[in-house]
Amino acid sequence: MKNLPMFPVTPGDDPGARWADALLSDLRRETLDIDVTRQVMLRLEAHRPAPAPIPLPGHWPGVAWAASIGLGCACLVLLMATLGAMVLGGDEGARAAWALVTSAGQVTWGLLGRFGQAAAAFLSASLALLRGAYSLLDTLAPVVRGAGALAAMTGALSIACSVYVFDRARRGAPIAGQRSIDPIRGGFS
Amino acid sequence: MASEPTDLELVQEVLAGRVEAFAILIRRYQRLVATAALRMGVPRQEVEDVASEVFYKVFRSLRRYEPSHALSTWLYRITVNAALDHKRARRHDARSEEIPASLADGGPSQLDAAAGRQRASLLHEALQRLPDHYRSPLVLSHVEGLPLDQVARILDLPEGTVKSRLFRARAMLKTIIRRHYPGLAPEGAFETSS
Repeated sequence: MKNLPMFPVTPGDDPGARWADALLSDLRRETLDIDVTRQVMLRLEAHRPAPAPIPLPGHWPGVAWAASIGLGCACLVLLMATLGAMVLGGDEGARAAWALVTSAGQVTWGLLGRFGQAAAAFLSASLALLRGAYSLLDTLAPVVRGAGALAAMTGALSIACSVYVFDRARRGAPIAGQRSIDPIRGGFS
Repeated sequence: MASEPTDLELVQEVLAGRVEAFAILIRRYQRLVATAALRMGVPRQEVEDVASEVFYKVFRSLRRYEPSHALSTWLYRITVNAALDHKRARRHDARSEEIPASLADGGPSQLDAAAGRQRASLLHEALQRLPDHYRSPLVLSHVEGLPLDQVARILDLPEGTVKSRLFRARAMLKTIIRRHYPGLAPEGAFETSS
């Protein structure tokens, strides 16, 4: 908005509908006659735009979902019923398919067994290693404790030395920003 | 003599494939669309393009037309949107070109007409200073003279929102007129407010 700062509007600021009607009356008298019929029809003929598809009512997507799920269930039931009829009827193809399924099951079961054995061997080896490491740590515990205490004492001593050195240095350092009197020339340096 | 087909009948004919029926709708509403576009601030020389675009859009989305509302309401909505799009796309004011070159040419009636055109031009300028979302309800309500419920339908806003926007739009317009166009103010406008 040009040249118009934001300002709070209070009820007294509204000049009212009559004021606006009176102000804008000249615009109400302003009309415009044009003829775009030919222009639009030519454009429509040239482009032949397809009218946009009808938008679906709000509940249609829900209906579509329910119908899809229902049809899926019906297909599954039909498939299972067909398979059941084939198996019960002693169909050769069904027997072959069943043999294939049982073979695949056996192979899968065998593979899983092998995989389980390998996993168990790996776990037992890891456990043995962990147990050995624990025993070693248990044996070396006094030594480790002694080394830890020594390290802690050394650290504390180092801190104490540092504190002492810094304290001495701070006391002996000149004060920053303070002008000192030159003892030789008798003025400020 | 056969009676004129209603808007709904014409819409149904167009949807049934008789595209020629759309020409009747264009002839019926092109003045409304052009005038509304002009009043929304589209420069006079560009109104034809905007009106043409409006009718093209109307044809494209004719299936979405809800017969429960008047076709004119829908046309107003599309025109307002097209005018705002046009303004955003062009960001310049061509209205200054429309001010008559000389007010001294011609007799008294021509002078009156010229003064009226100049006043209208200045009013358009003043309206252009309002933000779009305040100008639209103001023009629809106080220039087009539409009732509040129809303005709300056109702008797809609750009536309460339209009311508050009208209130703020009038207050802003009053400030604009007072600061920049004091000569346009209705007589005694700033002394009394209704």
